[in-house]
Amino acid sequence: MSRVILGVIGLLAIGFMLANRMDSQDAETAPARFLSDVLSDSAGSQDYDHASPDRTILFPEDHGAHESFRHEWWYFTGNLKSKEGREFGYQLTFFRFANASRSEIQNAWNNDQTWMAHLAVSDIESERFFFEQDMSRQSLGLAGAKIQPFRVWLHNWHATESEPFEPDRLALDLSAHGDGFSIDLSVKSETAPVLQGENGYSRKSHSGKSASHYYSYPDMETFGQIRIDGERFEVLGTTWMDREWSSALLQAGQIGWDWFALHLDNGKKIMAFRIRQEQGNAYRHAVLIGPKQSKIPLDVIEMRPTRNWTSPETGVEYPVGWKLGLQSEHERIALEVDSLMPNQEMNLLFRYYEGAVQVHGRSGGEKVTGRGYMELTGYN
Amino acid sequence: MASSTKPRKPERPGSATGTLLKVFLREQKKSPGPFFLTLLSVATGVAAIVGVDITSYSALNEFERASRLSSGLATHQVVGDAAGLDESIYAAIKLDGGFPNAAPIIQADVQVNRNDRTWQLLGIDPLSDYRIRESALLGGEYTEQIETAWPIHVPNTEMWPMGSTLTLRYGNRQQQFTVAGRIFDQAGPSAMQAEGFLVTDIMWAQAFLNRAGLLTRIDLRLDSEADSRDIQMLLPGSVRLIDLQTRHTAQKDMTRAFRTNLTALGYLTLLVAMFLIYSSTVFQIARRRELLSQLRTIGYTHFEIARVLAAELSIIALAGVSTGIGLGYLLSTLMLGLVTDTINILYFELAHGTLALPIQTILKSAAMGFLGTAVAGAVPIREAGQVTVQALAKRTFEEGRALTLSRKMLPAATCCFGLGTLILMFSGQSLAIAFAGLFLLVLGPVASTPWLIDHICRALGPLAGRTLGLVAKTAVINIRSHLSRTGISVIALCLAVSASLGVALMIDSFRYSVENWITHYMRSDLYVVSTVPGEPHFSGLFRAEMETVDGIQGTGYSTRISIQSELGLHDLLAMDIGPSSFRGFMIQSPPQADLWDRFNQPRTVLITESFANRHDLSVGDDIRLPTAQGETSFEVIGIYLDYSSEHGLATLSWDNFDQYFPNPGPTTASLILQPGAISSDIRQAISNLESAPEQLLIRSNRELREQILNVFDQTFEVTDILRWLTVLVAIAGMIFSLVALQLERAALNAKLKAVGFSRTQLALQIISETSTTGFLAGLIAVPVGLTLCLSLIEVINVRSFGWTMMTHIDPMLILAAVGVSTLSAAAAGIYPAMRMWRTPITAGLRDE
Repeated sequence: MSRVILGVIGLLAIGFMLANRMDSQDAETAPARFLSDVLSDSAGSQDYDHASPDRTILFPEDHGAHESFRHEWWYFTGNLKSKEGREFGYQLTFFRFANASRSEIQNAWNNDQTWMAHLAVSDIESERFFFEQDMSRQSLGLAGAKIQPFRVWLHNWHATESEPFEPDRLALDLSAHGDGFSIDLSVKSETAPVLQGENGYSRKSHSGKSASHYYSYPDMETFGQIRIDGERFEVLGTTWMDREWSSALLQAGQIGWDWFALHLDNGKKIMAFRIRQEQGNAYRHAVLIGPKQSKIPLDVIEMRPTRNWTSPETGVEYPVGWKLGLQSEHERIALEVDSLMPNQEMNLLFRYYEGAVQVHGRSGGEKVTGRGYMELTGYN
Repeated sequence: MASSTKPRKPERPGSATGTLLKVFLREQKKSPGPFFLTLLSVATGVAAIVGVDITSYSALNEFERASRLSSGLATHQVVGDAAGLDESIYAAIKLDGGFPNAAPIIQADVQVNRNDRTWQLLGIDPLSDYRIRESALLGGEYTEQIETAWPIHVPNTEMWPMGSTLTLRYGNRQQQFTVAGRIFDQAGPSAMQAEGFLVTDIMWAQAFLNRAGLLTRIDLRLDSEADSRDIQMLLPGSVRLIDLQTRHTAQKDMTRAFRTNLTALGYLTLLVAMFLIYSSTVFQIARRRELLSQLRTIGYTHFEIARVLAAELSIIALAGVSTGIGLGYLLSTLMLGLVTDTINILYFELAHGTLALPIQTILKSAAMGFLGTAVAGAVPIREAGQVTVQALAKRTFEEGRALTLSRKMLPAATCCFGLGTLILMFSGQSLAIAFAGLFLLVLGPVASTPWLIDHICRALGPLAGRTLGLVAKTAVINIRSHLSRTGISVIALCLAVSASLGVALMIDSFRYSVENWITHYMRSDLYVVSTVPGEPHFSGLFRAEMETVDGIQGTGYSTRISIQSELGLHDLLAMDIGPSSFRGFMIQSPPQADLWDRFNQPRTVLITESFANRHDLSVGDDIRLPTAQGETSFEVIGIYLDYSSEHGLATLSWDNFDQYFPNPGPTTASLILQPGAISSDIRQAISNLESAPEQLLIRSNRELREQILNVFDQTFEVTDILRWLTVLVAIAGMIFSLVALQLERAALNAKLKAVGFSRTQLALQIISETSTTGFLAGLIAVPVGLTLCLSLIEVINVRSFGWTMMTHIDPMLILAAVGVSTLSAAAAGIYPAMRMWRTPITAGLRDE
C-alpha cells in the first residue's frame, strides 16, 4: 500500500531543498504548505506518467525504478524475535523522487532523481526506538535501483537480490547501519507477489482520480542479525514488502493516512488503510490475503482510534490503539490493534509514526492474535 | 570548660580595625589624589594584562568561529592538490566506506557585482551537508519562489533583498544568481557577512566555476582513529586526510609566539606597576606618619596598624582591579584591530571579531592584581607597623634603604642576572620559560640601579661641586640621600626604559634586516600580479606578449601554493628565474659554487632559515612533499634567509614544479627594465595587452618595498602601545616617590630657605636632582637594554619565528632612551618643585 502523504511531503520538500532551500530546522512547517500547494494537477505532475488500470505489472522489470513516475518506494517492515524470545520490529525504506530538471547544466549533481532512505529498529523489551535517515541525489552512483540482479541502494544501505530471479520467488539481503544500530537480514518469499487493487492498480480516492501501481510480498521469511549498541541479536521473523509508484496520489483536501499490515496467527494477512479528508469521509480500503496469496476484498465497517499517545519529543498526539471491523463475503473480522511500545515516532526531516503492533480479536468466530505494522501520517 | 579558665583579653569598644579604617579613609577623603593614583597604578597593571589577554582571546575566538563557520562540525577534511579533488572519492567514501557524515564542498573566492571585496562561494550538497554544518549554514529566511535557476543564499538580506540578482565573477567567468535565501550562524547574519560566505548548491557552483567532476574538499565527521584509518585506505596517493583539530592547533600555534610576546609585555607593565604600587604605599605611609605615630602613642599595636593599612590597600586593590578590568577592555578595543590585522597579514585570514571578556581573564587578572598589590605593599606596611613611635614621629623614614642600597644588593642582582642568563640559555623551546629568564636577566642589573647611582654620586659629588657650583653639589648629595625614597621608582624607571630600549633596538634591527633582505631579494623593477578572483594565473599568451613589450630586459615568474606535507601546512614557492635573480637569495648555508645548477636538477629544494629551524633540517636532508606522483623526496640543497613567511617556505625550480605539481601557470611576474626605460609607459603597455588579465596590479620595486615595510611597521604597533604604557607607569611612579620625598624635605627646604637659598635655586636643585637621577637611570638602562635586545634577537626571535637577524644599534634610539629617562624624571620633579615653591618657611620649620 502506498504511504502517500509521506511520499508527497518527501518529494516536495527535497525538491524544494534542492532548488533553493537549505533549512532542516523548518521542516515542521513544511507539510501544510506543500500539501496545499502541490496535491493538485497544477503542481507539475502532468510532466510524468500516471498510474493506469491498463498497465500490466511485469517482473523482474517492475522491481526496478520507474523514473518516468514521480515517486516510488521499496518498503520493508517486519516483526522479528531473537532465539531468546526478545521481540523486535524493523523498517527499511528506499524512497525515490523525481524532480523536474531545471537546467542544461552538465555535471553529475544535476540529476533529477533524489533518494531518501529510512531505517528504524524497535527493541520491544527495553522500549527503545532507533531510527535514522539518509539522502542523496542519484549522482555518481550514490543511490539507485537496478533490475538484474535486483538491487536498490542509497550509499551503503541496500536491498540486494541474493538468489536468481524466478516469477514466484524473491530473495533479498537487506543491510543498513545507523548510529549505534544496524540490520543485516535475509528475506525470502516463495510465492508470487500480491498485486494490490485491480491487478496492481490501486485507487486512492472515491473519485479514482489519484492512484498508484502497488504490489506486495506480505510474508517474507526473515532471518539475520540486529545490532544495538554493540550487542548482536540473531533474529527470525516475517517481513512485509511493499512496492509502489505513482505521480498523483492525493486529491486536494486529503490530509493524512492510517495504514495497517497485519499477520494473523491463522496464517491470513490483512492490509487496511484510510486516507483522511480535511472534510467529509475518509477513503477506506482493506483486503484479506489468504493462503497462496489469494485476495479477498473486505468492507471496512469500523476503523477508529481507541488510544492516543503523545510524543514527548514533538508533542504530537498519535492514535496508537485501534478497533478494526472488517467484513468479507464469508466472515466478519473484529480486531484490536495496539502498538507494541509507545514511542515509534520517526522524528526526522518528515515526521510520522511507523511502529510494530500486536493484534487481538476474532476472525470468522475464532479467536485470533497477531503481529504487524502500523503507519500514521499527517498528524500535527 | 577550658575556655572559662583562660584569661579573657580586654577588648576596646568597637572593632579596632574598623574604627581605624574609618579614620584612615576619612584621611583619604581630605586628599584623595594619592588614593586615586595608587588605585590607578593597580588598574594600569591589571589593564595591561587584561588588554593583552582579551585581545589574544578574542582573536583566537574569531579564528575558532571562522573555522566553525567554514568547517562546521567536521573533524577531518579530505583534500586534493591544487587542481582539486576527483568527486569519485566522495562516492567511494559514502559507498565503499559507508561513512554517512561526509559532505562534498566546492569553495572559491568570487567577486560580487564588481565590488572589490572577495566573497567565499561555498557549493554544498544540502542532502549531506546538514550532517556537518547544521547550525552554521542552515536556517534563515527563504523566498517563496520554489523554482529558481542559479539560486544563491546570502548572509544579509538588507544588502541583497530576496529575489534580487547579483552577478558573481570568477576569473573571466560571470554569472547572474538570484537571492533565494539567507544564511546565518548563531552569531547572526553579520558574522556570516563578515566571513563573506555565499552558499549555493554544488551543481550550480561546479557549473559556474567550470569544475565539473571536481571538489575542493570533503568535510568529514569521524568518531574514532579507526575511522580515519579506514578513510585513509580509500584515498589515492595524492589525496590527503587532514585532522582539523591538529590543523587548527597548528594554525593557532603559529600565532602562539606572537601572542606570547604580547603577554610578556603585558606582564612587564604589571611588574613596573608593582613598583609603582610600592612607591605609592610608601607615600601613603609617609604622609600619614604623624597620624600613625599618634595611634601608636594611644596604644594601638603595630599589628593593628599594619592590619588596617593592609585592609586599606585591599580596598584600593579591589577598586584598582575593577577599574583595571574596565580599562583593559577599553585597551583591547584599541588593540584588537591591530592584532587581527597583524594575524591577517602574517598567519591567516581573520575578520575583525567582537570582543569577548572571558571569565578566566577576569579571574587571572584579578588574582595578578591582588597578588601584585600584596607583594608590593607587604614590605612598606610591615615596616610601617614595626617602626617605633619615635621613629614614626621622625621625618626621615628609611624603610627602603635597606632594600635598595644594601651591600647584599649587588650579589643578589648578580645572582638574578646569572640565573636569568642560565634559564634563557637552557629553556629549551619553551618561550614562556625563556621570557621568565629574560625578566630575571633584566631585573638583576636594573635592581642594582640605586646602588650604582649611589656609588656614581659618591664619586661624582666632589667633582660636581667644583665644576657646577653649590646647587649641583647639593643636588648630587641629595640624590644619594634620597635614594632611600626614590630607589624603587628609579628601579621601575630603569626597568621601563631598558625594556623599551631593548624592544625598540630589536625592532629596529629586525626592520634593518628586512630592508636589507628586500634590497637583496627584490632585484626587479616591476612586479605584476593578477587580482582577478579565482584566476590568479597568467596565460602562456600573456607571458609571451609581456616579454615582447619594449623596454623589458628580463622577466622572471613565480607562483606560491600552500601544501600539507608531513611537516604540516606550509608554502611552496616555484620560481622561473635566471641566474642573476637567483643571486638574490641570501644563502645562509655554506657557499656552493654549483648551487644554481643543482637548483635546476630534479627533486631539489631550497628552504628558508625559519623552515630549517622549525623542522630541524639542514643541507643534505630530504623532505617528502605530496606530489602528483604521490609522496616524493626532495633534497635540501641550501638554506636561505627569508622574512616573507614565519612558518617557512620551500622553494623549487619551475621545472621541478612543472614535473611534480599541477602547474596552472605563474601568478607573479618580475620584470627588469632596460636602462632608461620609462616605468609608467611599460606599465601602461602591459595593462593594454590583449591577453592581460582584466585586473592587474603592477607595482614598482619602491612601491612593493614600501608596502612590505608598512606591513612590518603595522605588526609592531601593538608592541609600541604596550611599550609606552610601561614607560608611562614608570613616570607615574617617579612622580609618586618624588612627592613623598617632598613631604619629608619640607623641613630641610625650609632650613635651606632660611640660610639664604632662593626658591628658584631650590626648585632648580629639585629638578636637577630628579633629572640627574633620571639621566643616571637612563645610562644604566643602556647596557641593560642592549643585553635585552641581543637576547630578543638571538634567543626569543629565533625560538618564536625561526628568524635570525642582523643586530643594528641605532645611536639615536639610545640617545632617545636616555633622553626620555632624563626628561620624564625632570618632569616628575616639577610638581614637587611647585609644592616646595608654595610652602612657607614657617610651615616647614614647625615640626623641628
